[in-house]
This record gives sequence, structure tokens and C-alpha cells, in this order.
Amino acid sequence: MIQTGVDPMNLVTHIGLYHYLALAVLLFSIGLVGLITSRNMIRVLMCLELMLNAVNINFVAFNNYLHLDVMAGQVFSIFILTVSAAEAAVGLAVVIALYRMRSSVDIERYTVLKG
Amino acid sequence: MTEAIIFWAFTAISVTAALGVVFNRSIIYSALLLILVFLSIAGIFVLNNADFLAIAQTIVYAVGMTIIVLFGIMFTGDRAMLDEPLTSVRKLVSLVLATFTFVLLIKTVQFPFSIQPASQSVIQTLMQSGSTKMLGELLFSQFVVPFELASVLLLVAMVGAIVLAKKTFADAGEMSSQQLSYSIDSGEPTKEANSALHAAASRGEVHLEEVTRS
Repeated sequence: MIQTGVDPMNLVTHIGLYHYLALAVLLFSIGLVGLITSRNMIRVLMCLELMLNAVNINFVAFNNYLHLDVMAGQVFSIFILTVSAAEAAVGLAVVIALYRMRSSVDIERYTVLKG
Repeated sequence: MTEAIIFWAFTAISVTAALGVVFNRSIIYSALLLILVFLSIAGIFVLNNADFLAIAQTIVYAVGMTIIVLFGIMFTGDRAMLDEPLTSVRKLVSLVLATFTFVLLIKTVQFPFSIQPASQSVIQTLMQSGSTKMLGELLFSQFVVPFELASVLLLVAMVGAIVLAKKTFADAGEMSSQQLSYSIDSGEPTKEANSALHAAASRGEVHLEEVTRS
């Protein structure tokens, strides 16, 4: 556990809840960078999946360390998995439909709302 | 100690591969690195007593999702395989925003959670049969309504994806006329002509060898 005044070697060898949370935050931030910076729509979808996975890590870690008796966190993870699978299928169908319209998946070229 | 070694290994793999997904210029490599991220996250799930979720993660994400993504790349990526570099303003803005989010979330996550040890019976069940049985019982008792709603959602998403990605009749007409003009330009038979020929050959009306020779 991350506490002030804990010796750093202990932090490396003893894995606790906060390690998993930190990993999830790191992956979420990386996904966020990709979400903003990428110009290819498919890469945007991939980064979205990355962020959803980071959230899943959070749910599973909380379930393991706080409420292992209830297991509700893992059930939530299953629902997230389902929703993200549906989202990926519809998202890629939208990308393909847009590609048919403009023959490009570059986000910078879709400026219809700019006026 | 073993947990620590496994955790750090999976962390290193997943973070490196995630950085690759975001910053690799070739989108095919990004999609393949995404498989690595998903697999290492499945390893993290195993460390957290979520064996069923780890398998589901491997099947749904690392296999299914990546194949859909690769198909998407295949359909759309004839020219735009490489991302063009961004303007420096957008790079700067995104980095600032992501750093801000990272710091904010790290600060939030340091909340002193009250960690409770699991009861002995739960530990014994997990040791014997894994989490699958407990999850199944939960899904079909307490969470049965969301579970059924999720199945409806999947059905709707499937129908929606097919309708969205389907060629409309206008598109199809345009496509065949394009192919027709192409065949007039180059003097080669179109796909439709080829398939009609093959169909005729399979009925025994035309001998394919003769046709290809001539």
C-alpha cells in the first residue's frame, strides 16, 4: 500500500490495491492521449477499448481487495465487456459507412459541422 | 514475491504495448500490439482472482475485437495506412490534458480505502472452483435483468452494424457502372462476367479450359 514513509523496496515487492489502481490510471491516460492525438478513426476506437480495459482493471481490483464476498465488481466488468464489444462493432460499421462516403478515415477531413 | 514479479512483468508489457498502440505510425502494428495489451491485462485479471474474466477477455478482446479491428483496417486502409504527424499545438494541448487527467486520477486513487479480508468460505470456493460458479449464480439471480438486457443490446448492435455497413442500392449501382467502365477501358472481363462464365462452366455449358485458352 502506498503510504508516506514506507520504504521503497516494500513498495516494489508487496503488491496491493494501489498498484493496480495506478496501472489502470496509467493505461487510461495513455488511451486518452491516443484518443486526442490520433487522426485515424480506427485508432481512436482502439484507444477507446484501451480506456475501457483500464476501467475493467479498476473494477476487478476493487472487487478483489474490498468486496470479494460479493463479486459484483466482476459482474460489472462482464457488462462493460459486452457493451464495449457492441460499441466496437457499431463503431467500425460507422467508420466503414463514412469511408464509403468520403473514402477517407482521417478525422481532420470530416469538418461538416464547421460551417 | 511471485505476485510482485508477475505484476511488474505484466505492467511493463501492457504499458509498453499501450504506448506502441498510441504512438506507432503503422496502424497494423498498433492493432497487433493491442492484442498484447489485452493479453497482459488478462494476466492482471488472473492476479485478482478473476479467472473467468481473464478467459472472457482473451476470447472477446484479444481475439474477437482485434479481428474486427483488423477487418476495419483492411476495408479502409488502402491509402491511409500511416498517420500523418499532428500540428504541434494539438500535441501540446493533448499532452497537457492527459498529464492533468493523470495527476488528478492518481490523487483521487490515493483515497484511503478500507481493505477487507475475504471470508474463509469465499477463499475456499475460489480455491476449489474458481470464480466462474459464483459469477454464474450472481448473473442468473441478482443481475438477471441487466444480463438479459445485455443480450438484447448485443442483438441490436449486430443488426445495427449490418445495416450501417451494408451497401445501399445506390452504392451498388454506382460500383457496377464503375467496374463496367473499367472493363471497357482495359478490355478485360468484369467480375460479373467472370462469375457468370464460371457458373456456366459448372453447369457444363462451357468448357473453362477452352475459354481461358482463347
